[in-house]
Amino acid sequence: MDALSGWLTIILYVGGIGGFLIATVALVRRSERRLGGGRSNVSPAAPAAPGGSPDPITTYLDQMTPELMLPAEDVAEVRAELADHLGDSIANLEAEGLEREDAVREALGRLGPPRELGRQLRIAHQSTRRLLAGVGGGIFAAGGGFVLGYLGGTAVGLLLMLATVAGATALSTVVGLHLPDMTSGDGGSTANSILLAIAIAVAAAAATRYAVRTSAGLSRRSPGSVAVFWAVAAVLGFGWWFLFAYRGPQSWPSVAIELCIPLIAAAAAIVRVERPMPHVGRWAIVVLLVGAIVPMVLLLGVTSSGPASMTTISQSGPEPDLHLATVAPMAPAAWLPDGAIIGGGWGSDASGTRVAFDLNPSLSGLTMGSVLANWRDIRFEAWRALPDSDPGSTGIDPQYTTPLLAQPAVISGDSLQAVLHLERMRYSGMWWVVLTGIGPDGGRYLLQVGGGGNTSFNGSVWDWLTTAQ
Amino acid sequence: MNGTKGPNGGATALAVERRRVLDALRAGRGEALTGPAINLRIGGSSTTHLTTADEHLLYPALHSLEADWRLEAMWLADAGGRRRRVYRRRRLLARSGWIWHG
Repeated sequence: MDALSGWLTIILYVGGIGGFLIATVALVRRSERRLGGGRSNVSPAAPAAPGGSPDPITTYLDQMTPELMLPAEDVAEVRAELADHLGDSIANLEAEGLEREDAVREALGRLGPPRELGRQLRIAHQSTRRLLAGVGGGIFAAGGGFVLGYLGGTAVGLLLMLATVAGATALSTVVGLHLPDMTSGDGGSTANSILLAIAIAVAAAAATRYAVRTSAGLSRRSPGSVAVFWAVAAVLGFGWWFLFAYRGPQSWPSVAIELCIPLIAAAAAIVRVERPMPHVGRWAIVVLLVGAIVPMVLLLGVTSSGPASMTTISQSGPEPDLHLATVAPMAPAAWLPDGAIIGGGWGSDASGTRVAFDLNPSLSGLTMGSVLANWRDIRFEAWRALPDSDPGSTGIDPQYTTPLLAQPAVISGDSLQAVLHLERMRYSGMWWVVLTGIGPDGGRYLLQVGGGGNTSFNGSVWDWLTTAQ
Repeated sequence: MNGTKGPNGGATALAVERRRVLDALRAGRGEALTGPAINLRIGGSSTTHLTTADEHLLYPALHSLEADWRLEAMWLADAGGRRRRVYRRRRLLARSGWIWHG
């Protein structure tokens, strides 16, 4: 039953997104047709008079058209309709005995000055109801455009990375030039953050452009006249979102890209906005969703790790040299019985790394507070660890003489606990956690050694820019 | 509606023309009419009956009523195959099929 409900959830999720994207594409296509991006079903206007002389009807319509300032399909419809009306009107006046020239003059005169008629028709078309429809449709299209742009941006980012890897390999093989490896040391966090930044930059640009084109078609306004509104909204909305609200892996390159997103979105709203959007077919959306989201969901289902859990680590002393002398000398047995504190475990999730060391259960009758009575300023310290790429070494990196992060340990029952916010530090890589305290002589000593892990930054652009390290 | 109130709160010429268009279409009992046909129905049997002050407001009135969802419009082919734009009153419940004797 769980498997069935899981599959049902996947199908509903994918189906819901697919329906949303197809509705967005349909709305955008409708607007594009009205803006002149598709075939028109309107009959052509009155043909030119024979002999090459300027046709007074065409001249009248040409003088009216600049005042309309409507989408191309509306302009074509208005011209065709007025040409029909004038044709009927002239025929009726001729039937009543007027000469052709007099009938034409009379029919045109009854419609009034062409520019005034154009202005009145523009006001008639650009109603408040259509303006509201344009705003709502623009917001809807922006949502769908963001999703489509994100999928497309992810594809673009992956292609760029493949090209970069291929180019780096070629440079290394042919020329002997070795570029910095972005995937080692931080577990690929930098590469992931850049890929994400590219994807959301493309998504923001697509969302803004979809909003401009759709709202222009629905509200019967030119794209240029609504572009400024959407550009300002994009700068304010995306600017706030990506600076403060969006949280994810970050690096200096990704932060640089994300700081440019408001400008990219504004440019997408304004630059060559009269050009139609590229057409995305419905079947292309279905194939994209099936080909991209379903394998991703399946992969997540297979490799899901569940909620963060505390894991038990070895109690025995480290066999390899962990370079513990970098931290502090081991606590003398007279001040802290050997094995009195054992490593409990730690668990990491997006909200931090929770560390806990426990009192040895064999010490019955004692409490953590009594065991640590001689100690003060007890704290957990996270130190940079040697990278995995160096198979001969493990433990703390002796190049660094200060810890990455230190957090006071809190006694909770028979445990010492703390939360280390390593995800808020720009440092991405391996770390090692230890417990230290100041002894009776005033010196800091190593009380117990924990284990290691890998961390990467997870926060907003503002968090990245304002973090201490 | 756009520009249908005068400076002293009275109905403008556009508002008057909109009312005449709606009355002309109401008399048609749901059938669709072209702009010239509506024009004839408003002005009587002859186009010379209307003054130039009225006819220049016909299409602004038609298009503003369409924008306000009071009318719906469609391009239909007449007997000669020529496509004409026809109008009818919009109903709450959508109707299928357009009755137009083009």
